[in-house]
Amino acid sequence: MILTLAAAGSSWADPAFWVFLAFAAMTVGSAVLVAATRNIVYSAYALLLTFFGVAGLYVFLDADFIAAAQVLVYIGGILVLILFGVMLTNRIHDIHLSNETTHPVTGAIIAGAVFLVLAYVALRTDWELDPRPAVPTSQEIGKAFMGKYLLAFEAASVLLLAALIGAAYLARRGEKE
Amino acid sequence: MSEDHGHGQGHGHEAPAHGHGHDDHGHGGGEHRTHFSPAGFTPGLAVMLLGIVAGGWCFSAGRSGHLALGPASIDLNGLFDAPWASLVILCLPLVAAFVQIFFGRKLPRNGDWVSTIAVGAGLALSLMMLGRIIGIYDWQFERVHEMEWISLFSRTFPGAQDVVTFRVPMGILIDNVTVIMLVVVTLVSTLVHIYSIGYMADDPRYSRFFAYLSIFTFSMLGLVLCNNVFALYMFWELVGLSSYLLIGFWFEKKSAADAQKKAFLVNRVGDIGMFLGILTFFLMTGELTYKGIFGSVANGAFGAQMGLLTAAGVLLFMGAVGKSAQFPLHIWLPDAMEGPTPVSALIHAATMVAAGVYLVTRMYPVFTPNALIVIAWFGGFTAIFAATIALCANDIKKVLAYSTVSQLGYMIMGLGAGAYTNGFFHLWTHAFFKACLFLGSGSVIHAVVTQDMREMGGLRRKMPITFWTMLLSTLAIAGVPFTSGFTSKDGILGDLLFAAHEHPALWPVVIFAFAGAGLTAFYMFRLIFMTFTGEPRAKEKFEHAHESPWVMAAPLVILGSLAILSDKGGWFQELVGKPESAAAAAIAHAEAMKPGAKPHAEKAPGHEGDAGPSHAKAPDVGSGYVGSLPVAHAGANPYHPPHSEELHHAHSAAMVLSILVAGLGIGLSFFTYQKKLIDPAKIAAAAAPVHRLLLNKYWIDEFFHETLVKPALSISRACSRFDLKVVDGFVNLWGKATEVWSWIAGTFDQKVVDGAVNGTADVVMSAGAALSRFQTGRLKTYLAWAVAGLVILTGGFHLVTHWAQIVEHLTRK
Amino acid sequence: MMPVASLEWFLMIAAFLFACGIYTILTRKNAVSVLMGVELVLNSANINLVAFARFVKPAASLGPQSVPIPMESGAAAVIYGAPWASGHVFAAFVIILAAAEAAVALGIILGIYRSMGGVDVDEVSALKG
Repeated sequence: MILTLAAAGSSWADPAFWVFLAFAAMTVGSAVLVAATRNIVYSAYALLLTFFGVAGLYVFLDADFIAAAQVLVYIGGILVLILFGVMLTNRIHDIHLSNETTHPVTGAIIAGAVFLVLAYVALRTDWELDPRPAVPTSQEIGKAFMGKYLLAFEAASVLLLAALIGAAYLARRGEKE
Repeated sequence: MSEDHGHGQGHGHEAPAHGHGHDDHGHGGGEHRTHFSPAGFTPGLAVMLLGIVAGGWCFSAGRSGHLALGPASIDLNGLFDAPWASLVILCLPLVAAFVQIFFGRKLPRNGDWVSTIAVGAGLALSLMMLGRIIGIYDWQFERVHEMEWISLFSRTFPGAQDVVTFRVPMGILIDNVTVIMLVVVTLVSTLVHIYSIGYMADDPRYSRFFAYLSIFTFSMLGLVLCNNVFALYMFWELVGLSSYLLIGFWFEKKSAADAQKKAFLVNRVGDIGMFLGILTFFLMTGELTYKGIFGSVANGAFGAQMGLLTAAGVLLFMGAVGKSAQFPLHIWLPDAMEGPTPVSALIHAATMVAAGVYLVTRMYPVFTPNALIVIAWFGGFTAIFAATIALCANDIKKVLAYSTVSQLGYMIMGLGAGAYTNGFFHLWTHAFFKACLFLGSGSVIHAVVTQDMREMGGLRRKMPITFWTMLLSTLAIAGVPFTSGFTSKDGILGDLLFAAHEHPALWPVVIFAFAGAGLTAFYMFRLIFMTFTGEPRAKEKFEHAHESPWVMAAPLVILGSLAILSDKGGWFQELVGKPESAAAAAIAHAEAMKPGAKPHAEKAPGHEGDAGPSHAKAPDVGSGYVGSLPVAHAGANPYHPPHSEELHHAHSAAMVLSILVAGLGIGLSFFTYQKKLIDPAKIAAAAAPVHRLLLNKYWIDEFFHETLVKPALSISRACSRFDLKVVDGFVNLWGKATEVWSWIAGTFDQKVVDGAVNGTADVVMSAGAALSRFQTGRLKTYLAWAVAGLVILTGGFHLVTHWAQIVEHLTRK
Repeated sequence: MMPVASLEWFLMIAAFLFACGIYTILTRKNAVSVLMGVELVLNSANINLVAFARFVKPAASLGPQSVPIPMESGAAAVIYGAPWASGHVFAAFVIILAAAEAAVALGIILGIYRSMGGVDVDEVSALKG
């Protein structure tokens, strides 16, 4: 499998490829940390690294807009939210923050099976590649948002508003009780 | 002026108790009223003069085309080149109505000034427009502002070449007719608003009344301004609705509530016909705008189906029959007099009932000669028919109501006989003198608290302003020379006489018309003599009679002056020109479609008339007797009509005849009711059956009651009986049968079905018990199973389908 | 020019993230951790979307418009964006939805925390039949 990957990789001589490998390693490694650490705060910081690595991968995919959005929304928004969640739902002053695992073996089997299936599909499929130059993406995404996907775009904005209100409501309701 | 509102609100709640129960109007005795006094005189006169000056200023500004405001000068051509001015005129009353309905009671003076100012501003703009069209002086002046409102589906119409999208346009059409109607509506409406400030002062629903008046004004303006039949129909119904609201304004009175319903229902009858007419035109032409319909009809949209075109025109005319109270749908108008008198003046004399006439004017080009003869007959018959009823009416408002029906008949008849300009001119003059008569009668009723003319008399001394203004208007309606009514009525009669030469079918109409003119003079002067001269017949009522406050008298003075002045200047005759007849072109098309057709100009039936029937200078000569003109003349320059000796003769004869007839009527009236040389009671006794016939209005209402209402009621009763006996019996039988059947079914159910069901349930339960171990309630378990399922499905599926390859792959290594 | 790494690299990384996410969801007791796992899964899906958008030839049926418009495809692309932009748009939608989901999920978690005194998802079994 690694051999297949190595064969598919472009050039081991290219320094950019090594930078890519560094980002990939960061992503994969921190994802393992997220899954495996016993301390939930570590988990959250590992998730930060994962998100950052993914943003780097987007850069390698010439997806400038999505990379920026990843940094802004995931790291700046969602991760902070998750950290809030961690802080609010755990007694920080306790020595060990509970992050127990249950049925690790079952979980590992299922996760491994999933990975195998996905990897098999990824490697065995004969992808129809489309060599084309990398272009700035924002303009095209903007056109797609305002044209073909306008309705979905509006629906998403309504959904965000609803989520905002709903989250505030859910968080507030407990206080009254 | 303003003092009487202070207590109007205070005493408001008394009014229905003493006013609505027994009599026409909502006021109690004269004690509450502000009497004619020097205190009210000066501001009233000042306001009136200010209004006249302002109106004249607007008019002359429009005429010069520039509105000078200090150093700035506004070009008034923009009045027509953009739709804004018309939209402002249209929407101001609507806005005012909303303000009145929602905030009226909270505003100072109950907000009467909101509506009055809104309509007054509309009047100012309308006067500017009038001045402008006189300044432009083009009889074919026309501006259209149109947008697409609804665009629905596509289909082919007979008149269109290919697939047409069903589109409903919405737009404004401004031409001379529109502007004249705008002035009529806003002027009468403004004056009635002002008058109502005095007349309705004590009413508890004072602000509501102004709201309704404003809604009516809005609807009427919309009706006049729109450029398509679809919007016309909408506003037509809105006008009907506001009429309904206003007739039943004092709905505590049963008679008012009944009259309200009657007016609405009778109008529906006409409107159904009108709707069918609109649909016919739409189906045949695919057009809704006036211009589109005319163009399409002229281009042969109806093909050879000239009968259909005539029928469509007559159907359309049915709307006018309803709205303009023509025989046999006139029955609602006299009953509508249950409404407050200002309403009668505004709606049931000057504007709404003129909507039917306006409709005929607007749609004139599509009426075929046959349809026009039908229209002339309807109008002529109504003119004399209503006049005879008015002879014997004793209720002052009923006399005026029947005279309105009769005068509307004149207009319709004139239009039908080809007197396009004069028919519409009569609408213009009639609006003013009839509004004046109604407002005057309101003033009288207000003073003596009765509508019965037999209880009046001698009021001239007490109410000089009312008397003189009403007298002027009566002279006008009677057709005395040098009044506006004379000019317009004489125009109609002359054109009619001329048309009758060409169409012998119109001769009876001519007789109706002249006889009606004499009767009109007679009964109108009867009204004047019975009300204002002689000795008071009811002393007590006479005692507390008084002149109305200036807020009521000022509109009377203005309208009374207009009764004399509104025919001045030939501008009207020059600016209102008969449009080219689309029906004539359609007939030419139909002729051309016939096999072996000869050139249509020579042989087409009904094409005998060459010369127009109107005045020598009138532009409507351009198309001659409408519909019957040879197409060759359609494009003739209207300003150089073929000289017609006969037309001139017809008008001279008509003039002499009508003066004679009017003089005869006035004289008879004078000797009967003033000099008492003839005793009307004796004549009534001598011709008792006729008198009874007239008193009972030809039993038309009773006729409808017997022929339509009663059968309808008995049919419903029969239906109800059928329902009770047959349907209910059947239903009950079914119920019984169902009962028996359900017993059988129930037994079967218990024994057989339940057994099966229970068996199934047992199976399901045991299966569920087994499966429920999966239902841990933990989301993670569910997710685990889901993911595992996914893996098994994808991986397993692949494994199964590619088993051979995999094995081969593995073994090869 | 293609990126320095091939499509398979990105797909493998995404698959691994996905597996990590699934493992986290399945094994953690803490609801916030579960949420982190969900974020991992979403990220892996996003990597796939963007990678396909970069590498794979857009299918003809997934052109710039799903409804046929009377326009030749080059002109349509000028107005509606390039065909590959769909992948990026979907990725952006996923990010938007993730943000909404995170907010609502944390709201729910806070609610659970208040009412049950803890955030152990295994103790939340109200769905048990």
